[in-house]
Amino acid sequence: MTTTELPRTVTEAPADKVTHVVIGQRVAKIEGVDKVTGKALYGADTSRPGMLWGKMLPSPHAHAIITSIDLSAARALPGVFAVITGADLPGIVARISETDLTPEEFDTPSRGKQILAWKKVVFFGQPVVAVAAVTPAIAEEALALIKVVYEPLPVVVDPEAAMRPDAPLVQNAVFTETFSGKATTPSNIAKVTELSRGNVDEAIANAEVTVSGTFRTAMVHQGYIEPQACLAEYSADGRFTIWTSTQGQFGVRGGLSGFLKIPPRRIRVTASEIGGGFGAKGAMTLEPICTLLAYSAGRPVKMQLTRSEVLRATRPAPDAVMHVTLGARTDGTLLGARAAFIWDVGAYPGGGSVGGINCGFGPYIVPAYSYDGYDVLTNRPSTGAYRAPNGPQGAFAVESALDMLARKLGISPITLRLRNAVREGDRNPSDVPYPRIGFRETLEAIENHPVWASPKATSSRPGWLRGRGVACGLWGGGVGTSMAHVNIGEDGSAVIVTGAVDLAGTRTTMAQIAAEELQIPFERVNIVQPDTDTAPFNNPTGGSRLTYSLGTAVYRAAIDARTKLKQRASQQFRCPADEVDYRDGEFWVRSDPSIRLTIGQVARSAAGSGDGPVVGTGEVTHLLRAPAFATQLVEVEVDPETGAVQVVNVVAAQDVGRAINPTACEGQIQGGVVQGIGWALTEGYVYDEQGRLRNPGLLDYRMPTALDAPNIECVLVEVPAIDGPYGVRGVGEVPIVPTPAAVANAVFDACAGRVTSLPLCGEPVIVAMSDSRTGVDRSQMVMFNLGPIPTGNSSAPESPGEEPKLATEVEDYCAEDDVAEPEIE
Amino acid sequence: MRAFAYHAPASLAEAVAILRREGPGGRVLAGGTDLLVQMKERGTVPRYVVSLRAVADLSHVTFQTGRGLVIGSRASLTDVITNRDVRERYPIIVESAGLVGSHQIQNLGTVGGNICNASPSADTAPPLIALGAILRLHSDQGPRELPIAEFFTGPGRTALEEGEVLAEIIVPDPQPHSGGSYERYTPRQEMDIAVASAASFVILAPDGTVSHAKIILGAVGPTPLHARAAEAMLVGKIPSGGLIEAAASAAVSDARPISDQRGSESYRRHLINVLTRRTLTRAIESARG
Ligand SMILES: Cc1cc2nc3c(=O)[nH]c(=O)nc-3n(C[C@H](O)[C@H](O)[C@H](O)COP(=O)(O)OP(=O)(O)OC[C@H]3O[C@@H](n4cnc5c(N)ncnc54)[C@H](O)[C@@H]3O)c2cc1C
Repeated sequence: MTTTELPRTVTEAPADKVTHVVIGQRVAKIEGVDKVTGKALYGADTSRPGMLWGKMLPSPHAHAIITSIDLSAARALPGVFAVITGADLPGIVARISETDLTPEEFDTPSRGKQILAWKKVVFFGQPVVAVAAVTPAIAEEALALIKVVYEPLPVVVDPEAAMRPDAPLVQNAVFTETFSGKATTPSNIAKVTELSRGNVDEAIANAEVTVSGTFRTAMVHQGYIEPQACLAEYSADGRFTIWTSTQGQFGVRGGLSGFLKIPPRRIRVTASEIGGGFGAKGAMTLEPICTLLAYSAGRPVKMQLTRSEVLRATRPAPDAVMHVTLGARTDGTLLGARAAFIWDVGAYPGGGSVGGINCGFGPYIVPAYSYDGYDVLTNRPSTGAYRAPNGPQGAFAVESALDMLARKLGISPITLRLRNAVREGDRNPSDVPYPRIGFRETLEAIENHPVWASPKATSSRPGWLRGRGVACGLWGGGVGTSMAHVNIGEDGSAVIVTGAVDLAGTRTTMAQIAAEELQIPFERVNIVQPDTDTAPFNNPTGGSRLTYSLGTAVYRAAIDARTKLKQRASQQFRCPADEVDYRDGEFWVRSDPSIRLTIGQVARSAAGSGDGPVVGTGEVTHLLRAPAFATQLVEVEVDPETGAVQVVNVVAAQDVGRAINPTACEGQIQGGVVQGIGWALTEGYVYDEQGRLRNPGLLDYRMPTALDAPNIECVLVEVPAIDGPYGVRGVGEVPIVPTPAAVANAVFDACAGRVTSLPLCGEPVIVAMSDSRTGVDRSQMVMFNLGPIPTGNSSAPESPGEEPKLATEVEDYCAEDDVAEPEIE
Repeated sequence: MRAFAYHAPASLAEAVAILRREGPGGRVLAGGTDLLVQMKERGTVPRYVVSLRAVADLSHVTFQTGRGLVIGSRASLTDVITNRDVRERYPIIVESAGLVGSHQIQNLGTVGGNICNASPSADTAPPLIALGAILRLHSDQGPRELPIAEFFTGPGRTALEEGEVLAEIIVPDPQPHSGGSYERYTPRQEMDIAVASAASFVILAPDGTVSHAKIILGAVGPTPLHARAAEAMLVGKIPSGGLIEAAASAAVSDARPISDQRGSESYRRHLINVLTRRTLTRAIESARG
């Protein structure tokens, strides 16, 4: 391999000293034409001859024992080819893998194993039976013929209620995990994480001013427009072929390989064009069951979730309850902080609260702290990654509390944050030091922005009040393995081959990087993403890692191709390679610049002579994380009579490291802000007492529409990251983090009501305003007293489904931040 | 979706004949913006569907002095909103129909469908009740007329009988010195369903007193509700700020809201107070001219 040795810093020189031609340009999206002309193939767009349709029977109960399932009528229905229950899974997997599988192996409270409920259902809408039939209508008819007898159990959908010792147990074999071991009696508290530094009691006792609050966010959905869809085929040679809408085709291959206990070579996965993922399609949903149906039916099977299935039974973001106390000096310097972050992770164990702590408190220097995270099971669907997972929750609590502190002290919210902002070398709550970061620069960008400098406007609507709020956010940055090939065509054009899924326009930025390094026009670079048999390996797309990691791989592959081309040119010039110069598509001999060949001429001759055609390769495993910070200024208007809130203007400053394509960066920032407005104002799962989701549709699960999206001005701050190409940082996640808190802070500014629970539009505003008039302080709530967690001798059975991840979580800036590993193994 | 039969008659007569012939278990389809969502998302698939889309004789929107406004049940919300007579003479209908969904929904959906769907939050219902609209219902036995106020019998339930189709909505001539206003609260700016709504319609006597008052509340009961106590409080009096406040408070006790995923009972009561006061204020202002 002749990949040029790269310095630790990929950037050759500080970004401002290098003139780039393609980097920094607002080029249009490469795949844009296919998308707007309807040519792009999404998850449900592929079909196979003889294909069947798969459907799943949802549980009508949130918690119940499955007493019996009668499948006889469904099996007898003409056109039905396969009917599978949870109890069938071990047998089918054993046949596929030709291994001896004990059913017990599947009887574990693990997100990956329970693709169909077995023995009991633990959330409303959980799939219980899967069928495959010749048409969707027959599959639905078969579902209607299935008789399941349930014995309902008590339900718990509130995480605080689930923590009480007398709460119904969601899982019988989940034991509280702590740093010191595992508890011996089952509990809904799946994990407790305690992070501390210094003497927090003393710090808060000595503080000149303190603020406290309890903050709540709702369970929210990622809201991707394309429901999960998958097509699976089994062929007689023992191979499986999967077409699916996913953030990571190699993640699906690895996940299926682990689940089916077969080697990856028996699985080929093609990722479709993706209609939004936002983290949710980093984990598998339909792939395992679709594969098992195809195997059982002996025919290809297609599955596509409905919108209500998407909302009921995929992986929304956790709801959270966060108790926060801050202590500070009168100049605003933080002295200590105490917090308990309670995360509702749903019906199966999985992380969360530590990420919330690291994102929420990570931006600030706190000399003494004690942060406790609780990951709690409830009878709700397993939660999953959603754009900057756990960040918006944590930031809502901390940034609201900081706003309260700034108001109590009578200082500017920006001054307060600047006084406490972390810099390079400071450590996050998990004790990881920050590399070079651009946090202060984003605060200063807002402080110097004309909107901040100008006096607050009044609303043009009679009676409405206008307010301004500021909040900040952090995302630790994603990393992971990426690889790319750059194939040089006979005309000197380039095709990038990658196995990474483009969620956000990365095809375009990758082509910009290759064009820049090959010094050829952007239009001469194409990019393809073939299947897992064809493309080089890549971890899934997530955690804002792609431009950073795949960008590095493409950068290296392009330089490798350029180096090889120079060598091919030297063969044609008949001179040593180090005497060949290259610039803007032309090679020449240094000693006689009149002897020249274009890159096309070199490539054409190389195709049939010398060392042959050129393929550049580049790969990267783990780069140093490049944390991204954002500060947002939000202006709202509030109708104090109805509690209606409209966000009317947003200025979003973000350290993007280096904007390879400013338009793409702005698109990411605006998208994140709009989703953050959804968290803030209108989105949230509503459960009744029986644990049934009351709003499994887009009418009552209210995502913002175009009319709810305000003008969003993006201020791109460029403090280059110390690793990765050109100083880039991930852009996609952090813009959602500050928005909910900034909206709530703006609402307070408008109407003097401190709203501490989301979504806030309407009644919460009315209640907060009336509380502030009558002096009720709901923020001074008693912190839930847990008592000691009974930790034992670890004699409790290990859950084979998921390994404890404590060690890695502490190393990370934001635990569980990216979706590099699929959750199904 | 389960299989169902689909009929597309070309006339009203043909449509009611099909309904008679096929019997129970059928649904009429106008714009389909309620019906298709119910079939696809809630799985409530009828045995057969009779589409009015090819029925030519129901698409009219006409005004004639003495006969009032006639809206064919096949006319789209957009047909109604853009009609010049409706815009000039019945601004409250434009106000409410213009809130339904979005332009796309208004291009497909109908006032008739909004009424026959009988959602307690239907936006065109409170203004039409306030204006005293009459519904012309057709079966194969011929037409009958019913005041719209008697049409709603519960959530999703109406006085339509087996085999009956809504043919026309008739709104009486506009009255001098009258004014109406409709307002709803939704968390989103558009594409949303009212958490609560109110329509107010008043006629003023030459001496400035209220001679006629209708206040209709949406989404705070099983059907759109008459705020009778509030109406009674207004008639015969000269409107003042204090009187409006008192009527708004009375409307709160007329409401019968429940708590659900769209709002709590207490919040809905709060909204009724605000919305009644606002719509009544505007209705009186426009009646005064
Ligand atoms: C995205 C979206 C947003 C929406 N927003 C709103 C909103 O803001 N406000 C609001 O009030 N509604 C809203 N709706 C609901 C719906 O659009 C309206 O109720 C619309 O007016 C229904 O008209 P339609 O012609 O589409 O009715 P259809 O769906 O065709 O019919 C509705 C019902 O009425 C029956 N029906 C229709 N016509 C007749 C007839 N002539 N005789 C007998 N029965 C009949 C049908 O059988 C069916 O039961 C929304 C719907 C969607 C999908």
